[in-house]
Amino acid sequence: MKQLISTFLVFNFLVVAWSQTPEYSIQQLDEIVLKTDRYLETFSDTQLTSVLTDSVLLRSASSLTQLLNNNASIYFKENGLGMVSSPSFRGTTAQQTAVIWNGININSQFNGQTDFNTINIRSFDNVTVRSGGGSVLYGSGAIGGTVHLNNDLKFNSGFENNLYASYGSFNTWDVGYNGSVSSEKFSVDVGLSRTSSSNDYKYVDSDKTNLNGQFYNSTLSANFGYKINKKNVIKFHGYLFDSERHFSLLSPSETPTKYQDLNTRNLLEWQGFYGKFISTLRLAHISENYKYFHNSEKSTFSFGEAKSYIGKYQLDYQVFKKANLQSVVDVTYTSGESSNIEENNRTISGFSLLFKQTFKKLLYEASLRKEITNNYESPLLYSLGVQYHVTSNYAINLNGSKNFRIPTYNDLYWFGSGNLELNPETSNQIELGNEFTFNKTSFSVVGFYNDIKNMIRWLPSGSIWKPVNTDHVLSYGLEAKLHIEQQIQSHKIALGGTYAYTVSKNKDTEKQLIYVPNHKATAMLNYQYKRMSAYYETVYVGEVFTLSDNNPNYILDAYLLSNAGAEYAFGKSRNYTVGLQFKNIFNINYQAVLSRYMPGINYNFYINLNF
Amino acid sequence: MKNVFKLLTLIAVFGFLTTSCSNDNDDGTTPPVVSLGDYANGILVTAEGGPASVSYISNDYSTSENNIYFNVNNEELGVYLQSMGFNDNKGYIVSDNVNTVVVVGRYSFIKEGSISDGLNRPRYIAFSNGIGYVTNWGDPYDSSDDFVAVVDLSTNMVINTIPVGEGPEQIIAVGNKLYVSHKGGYSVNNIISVIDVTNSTVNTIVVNDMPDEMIINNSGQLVVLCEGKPAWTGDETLASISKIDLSSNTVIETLSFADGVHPSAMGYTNGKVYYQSNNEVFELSDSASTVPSSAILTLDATTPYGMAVKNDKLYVTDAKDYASLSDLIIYDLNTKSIVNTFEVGLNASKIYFN
Repeated sequence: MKQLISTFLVFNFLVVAWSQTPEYSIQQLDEIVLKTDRYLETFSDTQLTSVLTDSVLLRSASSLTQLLNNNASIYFKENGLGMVSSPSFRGTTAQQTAVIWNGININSQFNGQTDFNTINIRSFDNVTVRSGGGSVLYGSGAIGGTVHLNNDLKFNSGFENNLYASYGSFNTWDVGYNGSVSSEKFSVDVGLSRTSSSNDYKYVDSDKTNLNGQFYNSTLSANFGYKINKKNVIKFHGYLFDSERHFSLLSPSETPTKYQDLNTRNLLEWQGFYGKFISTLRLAHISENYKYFHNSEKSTFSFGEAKSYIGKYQLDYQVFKKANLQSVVDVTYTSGESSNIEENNRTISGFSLLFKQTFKKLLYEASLRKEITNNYESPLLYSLGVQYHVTSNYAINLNGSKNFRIPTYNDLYWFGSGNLELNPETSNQIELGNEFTFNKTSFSVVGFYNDIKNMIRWLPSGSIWKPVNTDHVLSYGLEAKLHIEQQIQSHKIALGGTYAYTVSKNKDTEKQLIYVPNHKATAMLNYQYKRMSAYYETVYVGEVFTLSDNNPNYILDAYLLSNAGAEYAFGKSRNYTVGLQFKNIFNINYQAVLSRYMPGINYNFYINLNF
Repeated sequence: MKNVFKLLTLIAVFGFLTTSCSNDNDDGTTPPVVSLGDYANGILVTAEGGPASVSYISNDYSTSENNIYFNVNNEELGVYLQSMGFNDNKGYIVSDNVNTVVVVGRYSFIKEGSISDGLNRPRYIAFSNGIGYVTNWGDPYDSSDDFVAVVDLSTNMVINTIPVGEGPEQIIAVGNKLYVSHKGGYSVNNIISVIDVTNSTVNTIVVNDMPDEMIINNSGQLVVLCEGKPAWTGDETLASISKIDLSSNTVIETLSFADGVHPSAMGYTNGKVYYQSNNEVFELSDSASTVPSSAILTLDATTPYGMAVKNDKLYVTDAKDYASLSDLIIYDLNTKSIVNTFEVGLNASKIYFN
């Protein structure tokens, strides 16, 4: 019986209970990994997810923008290297991509989006991109897709250290340390990282230099897990991010400005396994603080600060062997104020019901969520997905969902302009995916159609601007992903790529949204011979309109960037790596935002030590 | 305007707007043979941007050209192009965010220099006795650092600064006096500064809240459009047209608007004031003692932004959604109908006659 319970526990720890065979068992002392954002494994089968980890993170610069720009089909509107960066996922707006930290939505309460240059990837074990709607699971903004920052907890893996350091062009330092200690009962993991750059690159084909672009950011993360007994486990994730960015100038005569961010995130989780039930209680506190110095030489600034307290209780019940019902109740209390917003607070309660059943070749998942708040009228959110394995190599996924983006603090409370009558933006979407998996090759292609209504836009109203629910946007297209690996003796070759075709039109004007390219593609080729490896990666970003009338004279040209690098692994178990990397090797002159010139060829050298 | 500017600033902070444009039109290097320059005898429309730009439309509407500064100089203008001033055969382009006034040949638009030191959020320029005067907000969050910069036009250097109240906006010169309307910048103000250029002394005249547009009427009075504080401030005040006698520098007449009416643009021609409010244009004769109750025409524009009148024509820019190229719409004031429409720059805000 004891054996049975422990097997069951391990089973759940792995969070594969839904679809794996029950015979699956693991020796007790093997390394065990606990994941906090369990929805990624349990309720994401019928949608495309892509996990970025290990060498992909190692070779990327520390900003989430650069990681995803090179490895995902998300488009970024980056206001110069390291500056404000907003995503467009499947042709949606920056507020329609949710960033999820260990299962918690961390988009700003003020503007509803995450600046992807305020996330340092060194603090996370993996970054997962989940395409398509996910509001039932992740709440507001999960319309185009979600980006997940995950910390795993390892048990039985002893004492492990990781040290990473990179130095490169523009005096860019990127260093990180991660240490973990774990036994069968507990797991402690602490990470520190810091990135800083003078960011004073020369513009290509110009005598101008990027002025006032210097920045730094520091992250502290702490993750803790304790198995109280065989039925109960406690987890804690803590995170602190501190950054200062000077905003680069368009003209040397501009008044220099700077921006400071201080964000904290804390999550405590208690999970209990009682027969056919799994009970999960989560308490979280997240805070965001920004200061904008309109003159970086002065001490005056405008600010914003918001705090949220989140309580969530989730009960899983195994209805049948391969069928699971989950009910969730949660409450989020937010209090925020800024230079333009008097202190306001809001409470949002939510109820969700999720069901999933797996058969031999078929699985389906269905979920519902309803939020209650006096802030706005909340629609019934749902998601329905079916996966069918036509053959062992080919699966079809069909998913339809209703998602939303709620009005932000700025939208609701901006002094004089805030509109309390606003309703959430809503999206009805459907997608059809095809997944092919062969021995060492995988290919997927997904077609999607997304009908987004009640888009919130600020419009002049008399002498002021007011946000109103107005635009109706249709986004549709396809996303494709390919990965191939081949090994011939000691030669290993890996080839990967993504491609996205996106149309995103304002339904009234029939015009493509600004800063949404029709085409984006990424590709990566890696060649490894014993301890040596070399790689080449490219990103193609199609042209974008910068004016809403799609005026052809105001287009940003398409660009194709290439990076190349080489690595050598030392040590008995190849646990020390040194690498050299060249970015934009063809010295392409490009802008991601009009007049915001990006750097030409640049390099960096890095070491990564595991001990 | 204030809120538009605030919002634009907000947008800039989040990185949605920038300068520049691509244009492959001809470079304008062919020297004019007889005329004053390529851009004489026409209308200039400045666009805040970004990208900021200047458009030219000939008086007979036969030619029009956008991005004339870029076309001539192969260089961008800095955001946000606030206004232009003209002195003899020079044009002065005032861009506030880049703290610069670019000096061009008035009719050629060839860049001749720039005033870049000593300005801080420049707004408007005026000229008196061969000297330039530029209003500056300074730090818009600091109410005590606003000033008028005194510019030596031969060297384009700021040679003196005259401290003034919060948020100096438009400036006009009459004899040895400069009149500055203080709309208040990011804040609210209600004064007209009167600067004596002979000794740089400053006197103030109190008017209604948020004075912006000013003209001199045929009786030699200074006519000021005060927009009044809008409702969202929580302290709404009445807008007015105030007339100031220039010999005594006192307000001699105040024509108040009704509650909730906040006109934003004003021009003067043929002895009549024209102003724009809520998509409608009104006409006010010099002798009228109250503001008119009915409009002379309703504009066919989404977002009227700039306005000017000359002779029997009314010129209005339509900024649309602030993210598309604007239109310049020209009305005949007699027939109240549209004479012509031209596509101009992004967020076109000022109209000048060259």
